[in-house]
Amino acid sequence: MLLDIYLYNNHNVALMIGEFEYLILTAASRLGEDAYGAAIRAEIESATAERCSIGALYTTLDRLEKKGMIKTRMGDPTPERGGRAKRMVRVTAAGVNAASAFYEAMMKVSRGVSWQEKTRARS
Amino acid sequence: MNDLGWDLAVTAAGALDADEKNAVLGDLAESGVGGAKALSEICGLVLRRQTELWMNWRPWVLLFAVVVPSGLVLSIESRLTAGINSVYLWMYLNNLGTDLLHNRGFWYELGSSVPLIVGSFLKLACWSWTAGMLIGFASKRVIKSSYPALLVVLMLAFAVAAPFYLAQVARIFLAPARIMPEMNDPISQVPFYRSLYPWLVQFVMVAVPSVYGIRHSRGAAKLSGPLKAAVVILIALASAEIFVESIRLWFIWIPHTIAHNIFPYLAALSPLHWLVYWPVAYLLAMKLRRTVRGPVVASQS
Repeated sequence: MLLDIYLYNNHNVALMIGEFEYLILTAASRLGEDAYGAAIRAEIESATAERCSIGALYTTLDRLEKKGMIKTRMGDPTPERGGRAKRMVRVTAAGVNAASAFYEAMMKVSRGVSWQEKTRARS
Repeated sequence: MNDLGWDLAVTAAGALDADEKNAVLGDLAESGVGGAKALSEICGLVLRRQTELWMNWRPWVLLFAVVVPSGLVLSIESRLTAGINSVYLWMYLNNLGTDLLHNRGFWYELGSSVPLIVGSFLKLACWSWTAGMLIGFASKRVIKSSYPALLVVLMLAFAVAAPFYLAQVARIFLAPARIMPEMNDPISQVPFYRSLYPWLVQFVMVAVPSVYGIRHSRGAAKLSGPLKAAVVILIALASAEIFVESIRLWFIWIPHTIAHNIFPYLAALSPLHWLVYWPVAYLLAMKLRRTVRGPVVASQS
């Protein structure tokens, strides 16, 4: 399920991110200078234990760039990539605000809810 | 499958922007995935990109304003050309022998029919190439969606719309006079000429030139100001010429007496008949330009 929420950053500009966008922003932020397509994908797959398709990743990167939450540039080609360049990703201030607001919203909405207890009660 | 899969993946990635193609293929190579997996990942991305493009209004306007009319005209013209030329082709291929080669009448007929056959194929290819250029120039921002749209339209127009149109024309107006190419019963009964040959003509003389026309439009868009303006004017004039010439396809529906009076005026409207062959001059000029200036270093893709 794609959870889309409307958030407002410090400039009162409406921003919308979904859970997958949040995952990308968080992974890119963690990777810092080393954030690029394959590394972000590996981070997401490791965190969620689910497959992250190239199609979903690259179309979402474009969407985030259009919203001004990330900036991308082509890096240098490397031999292990068959001489092909990386698409390097940098999270912008707007991206940090949006991800932070998403995290806050998740924390607020989750307050007082214990999923572990509910899971135990059902089983 | 791995090498073949990778080859296919690289080919499919050609539908992506150069930078994206580079980054995605690099990511897949770095991940060490097999050819089949790489192909499915690339196809998934291409599909998403195409879907995104078609969520916009621009490709739809282009589709109905340019691609569909061009596809219809080219497909009808292609079927007519294939029908007429199949008569000559059958005549020469199925009756060729030493007796015929010694017949002076055969050589006379060959001399008069070959220019007609070659001319009609060349004209069809030039029409298609011009249509591709027009589509390319009209769709600079949606060029990636133009290829599949054009190919699907050409296929549907050729398989469904053109036969329906020609069958109606033949049924209502021309069948009694038995002057339609499809009415050449001995030839149209031969499976090759009935089924395969028209598709070959459509593929070689329409689909391939129009796709190359779109590809060439990207190069033409990068020409300097005056040259680009000249190309745009040529595309506009040649498209107008094609439109005027193809009007006869639609005027066939009006009564013969009226059409008889209109056709001379249409011919008069078309003094630049030779303009339809402009792609030949353009391609030769571009080849000459490259030879004089030396090869252009292709951008990495």
